[in-house]
Amino acid sequence: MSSSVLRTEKLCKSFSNGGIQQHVIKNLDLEIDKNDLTVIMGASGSGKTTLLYTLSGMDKPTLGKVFYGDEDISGLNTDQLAMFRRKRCGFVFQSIYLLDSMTVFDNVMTGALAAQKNSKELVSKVETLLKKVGIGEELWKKYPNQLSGGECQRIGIVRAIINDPEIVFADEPTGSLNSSASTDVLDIFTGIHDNGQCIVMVTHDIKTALRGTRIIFLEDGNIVGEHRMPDYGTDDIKERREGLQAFLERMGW
Amino acid sequence: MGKILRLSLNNIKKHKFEAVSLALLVMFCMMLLGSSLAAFPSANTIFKDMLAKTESWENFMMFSDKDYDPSYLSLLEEQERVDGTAHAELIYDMTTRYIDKDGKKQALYMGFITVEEEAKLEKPFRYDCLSDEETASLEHPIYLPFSAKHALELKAGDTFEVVCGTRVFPFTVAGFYETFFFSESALGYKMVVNQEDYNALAGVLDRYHMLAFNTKDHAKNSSQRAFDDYEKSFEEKLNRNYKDAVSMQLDYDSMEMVASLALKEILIMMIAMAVVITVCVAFMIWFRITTEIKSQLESIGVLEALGYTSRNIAFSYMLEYIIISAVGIAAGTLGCVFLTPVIFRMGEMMAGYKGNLHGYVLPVVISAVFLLIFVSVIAFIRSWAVRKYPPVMAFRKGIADHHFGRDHLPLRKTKGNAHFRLAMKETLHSIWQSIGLAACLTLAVATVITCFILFCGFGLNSGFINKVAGIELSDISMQLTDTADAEALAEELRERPEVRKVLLNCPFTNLIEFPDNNSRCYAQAFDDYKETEYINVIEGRYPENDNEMMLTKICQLLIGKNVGDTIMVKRGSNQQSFMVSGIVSSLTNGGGNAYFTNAGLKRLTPTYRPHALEIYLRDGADKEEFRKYLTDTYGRSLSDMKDETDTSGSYEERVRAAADKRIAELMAAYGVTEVEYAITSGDTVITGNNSGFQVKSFLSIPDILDTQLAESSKATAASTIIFTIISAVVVMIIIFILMSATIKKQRRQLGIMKGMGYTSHELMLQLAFRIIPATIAAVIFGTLIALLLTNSINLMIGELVVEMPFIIIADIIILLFCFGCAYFGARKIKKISVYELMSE
Repeated sequence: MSSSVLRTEKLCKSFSNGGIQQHVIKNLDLEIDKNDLTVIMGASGSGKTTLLYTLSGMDKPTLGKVFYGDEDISGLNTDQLAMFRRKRCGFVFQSIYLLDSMTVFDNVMTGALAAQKNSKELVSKVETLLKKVGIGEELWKKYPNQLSGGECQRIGIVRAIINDPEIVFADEPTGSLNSSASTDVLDIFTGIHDNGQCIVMVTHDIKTALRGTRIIFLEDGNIVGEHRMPDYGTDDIKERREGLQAFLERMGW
Repeated sequence: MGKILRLSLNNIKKHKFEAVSLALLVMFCMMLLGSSLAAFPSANTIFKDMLAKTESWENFMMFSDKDYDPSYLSLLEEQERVDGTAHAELIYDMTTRYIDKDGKKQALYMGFITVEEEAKLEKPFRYDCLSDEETASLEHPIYLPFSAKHALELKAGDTFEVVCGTRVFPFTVAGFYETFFFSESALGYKMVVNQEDYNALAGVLDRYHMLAFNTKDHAKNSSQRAFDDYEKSFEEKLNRNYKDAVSMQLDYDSMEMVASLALKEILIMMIAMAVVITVCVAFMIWFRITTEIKSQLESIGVLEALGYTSRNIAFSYMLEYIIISAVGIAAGTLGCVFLTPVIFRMGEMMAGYKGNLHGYVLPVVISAVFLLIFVSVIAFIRSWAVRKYPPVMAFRKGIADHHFGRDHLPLRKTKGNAHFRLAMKETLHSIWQSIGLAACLTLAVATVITCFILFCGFGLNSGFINKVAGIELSDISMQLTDTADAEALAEELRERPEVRKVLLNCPFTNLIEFPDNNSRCYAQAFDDYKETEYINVIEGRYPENDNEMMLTKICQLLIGKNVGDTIMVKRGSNQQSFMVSGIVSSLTNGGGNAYFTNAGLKRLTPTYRPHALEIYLRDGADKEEFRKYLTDTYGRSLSDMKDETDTSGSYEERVRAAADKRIAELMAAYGVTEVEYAITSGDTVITGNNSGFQVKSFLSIPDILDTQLAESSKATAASTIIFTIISAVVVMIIIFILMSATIKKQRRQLGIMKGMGYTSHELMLQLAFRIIPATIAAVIFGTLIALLLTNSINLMIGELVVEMPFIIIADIIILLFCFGCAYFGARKIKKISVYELMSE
């Protein structure tokens, strides 16, 4: 039985700029396994982020199809896509995108209330998850601008997983963080993946990519290479790094 | 300067929708302010201009032919304050009707005068007339006052049929003319007819003598003083009660006040509306500049880093709004050109004076300059806030977006609708914006609710106005001859199956005095006020005993007596004290009425007895049919019989008809009360008396009220509807601008929420929910303000308050309208994809 959670068929995404069509994703066929922490890599402008937004239902494909199980989401309208996202996807952004006017707790609650009704269990779940990522009670009533980047991104991750999504998409989640904060955040990602969460992550940072189990290399909107790695922590880190670097070198990185 | 101008123009281009909306608000403001101020000076002089143009006399007294004596004129000429007099004869009647274009009979007070008599009173200006040849070919030409042209929807060459009792007099409209008095429907129209037609009408209708005079002194109240002197001399030298003799008195000051009152009220409402819009414009500019500074902080930082001073940047914002306002003012000035003539026409219709309103340019220029300065000052004060942001702080987006305040409405405590709670959180975060919006909406709601109350009260020819008329509006009001036995007749009529109720009444023909205050009002009497349907006590109770009376609200204010107080009342030489049992709302007779029991009025006037029957018919009964029955059974009215020309029937029938006609003439012209005759013709003796003449005339007060109030109702309805539409448009623009600016300001936040899975519909709902607290506050305060405003009208006429449920319904509609506008205004969210929203 297939463990695929997401697949695409001849996925295309184009943008029109001043009447000139720019084809960013070209006839892309991809399948995401629910057990994988898939990392999408590629040079700037290769279409990584566009692919992530299209896969997550944030944006609609120009052509082709995106299937979640048997459900094709490429034909959904914007409101249907929103309903789809709230139930089945979580998203972690490079710029974190917490709501400045809301406290830490309310930032997570806003995400939760999009899909669920308020309940004691929900509040308790938010509290548990925040504690789990190292956001103590003393920070819950603080506003994002009173926290560090790493703390904010951890809150962003909690917000992404609060509704138990099938897939968490992460766009350069450590892109705006320092080294120590990056490690903390990546540990959290590894932790939730170990708990069975399917994750699709875009990055051009090798340290981040090392956490993946499947590396996809994108060039001009096409998948030009793929590299498999065992689950993080079960293998020697040096060997992982060398394997990945060799793959990236083959890809011309 | 060129760079700053380019910067401003660029900003306008970027925010086209907001710029156009703001320009529209300024345009409305300019149109209303400019037009009303342009018209105000001539509204003040319309009466004097008309007087000068028509060379009319300033004061008038009207005596019925049977009450008139030539000594009245001599006495007037002797008066010290009087400077010149004139005498003219005319016909005037309150029972006349006309046939409208749909063939229905409409009540209308009418006066008829010949060309020669008219020339004694004023210099007529005719227009829209048929040619002399065409007029000469007409059998019954008639000239009507200009306002009748619009009010009765007539044009030269149309047939105009006058109905007097059962007689119909067909005329052809030869044209229209301007007249100084009897120029509007409240007192009736004075119409010019030829001598033959005048004689024919005089056979049916009452003739009057008009005495006109000017005063030597033109100070305020000099006319009233001249009338007082004349009244005193009248009673001393002629030994007659002036108030009993005079049928109508028109003094200069009262006529001047009435002539432009309604127009001035509308102009003041327009100015008030312009003030409301000005406040809204100020709020919108304040809010928009605040939003722009916040959203453009980085650009401000860049400009400052490039060497632009805070003053330069503030000036660029100011210039932006000066340009937008200038466009709005230019469009508004153009609008004035179209709106001012509409106001003039409305004013002319209400005053009954044509061609005397002129627009003034200076008030328009002053309005434009004021608006421009006002906008500039508001824009500069707000944009001066940029000086708080030196480049580095601006680059860091200042601290404005950072929140360190209280956590309002934490989401962990959410119960029910999460969208509503999220919206309320945002509302509390931007509390000053909500207060500003509430202030603007309060003014708009106050305008709309005031317009609604005025529309229901005055703009509709509905039962509402009847309720505050202070007069019984029976189906048929039958005025009886002096010889008729009112009580016996009422008793008989009560047996009729069509009749629901008959009340004995004394209509407002008895003028009484309050000697302690030297004021007068008209008296009305009923036996049992509980049986009345339109006389509403707003304080106290109905009079039940012969020493009790009720006053109207205006009388109460004039005399200064309250319920329970004792008051001296004088009629002729008889003076009696009465206790005020209640206060009544009333519009008729300028609100100056007093209400007695029949026994009470008899105590004041020993010779008084009820001489009118108010007949109320059952549902489904035909009014015209029953009127015919009354005519057939209780004798044709005097006015019908006086001009009887039927020559058919037997010899005896013709003799009786001729005798009846003579009796009618004697009764109508000389007040004869008893007539008996015996005519011998061969062997036959034909005898008879005047017992068949019990009916003097029929009135339909509701019809008369309808006609009298038709013009002011139309004007009130039109202006209240226009003000409501303008208010609605203003509210819509404010909310649209607010929503558009909020989406721009919170583009990132809304994008994040979309990313989290909130649908466009849910976000639109949240944005619409945000204005709910401000709207609810505005609806409450606006309604309270409207009620306070209308309360000042209540002080004059009584209970002009629309039932609270209707106001609540109007409030709910306003609330839904605002919510709908906000929801619709937030639709821009739909067009922006989540990716675009977040990528900023």
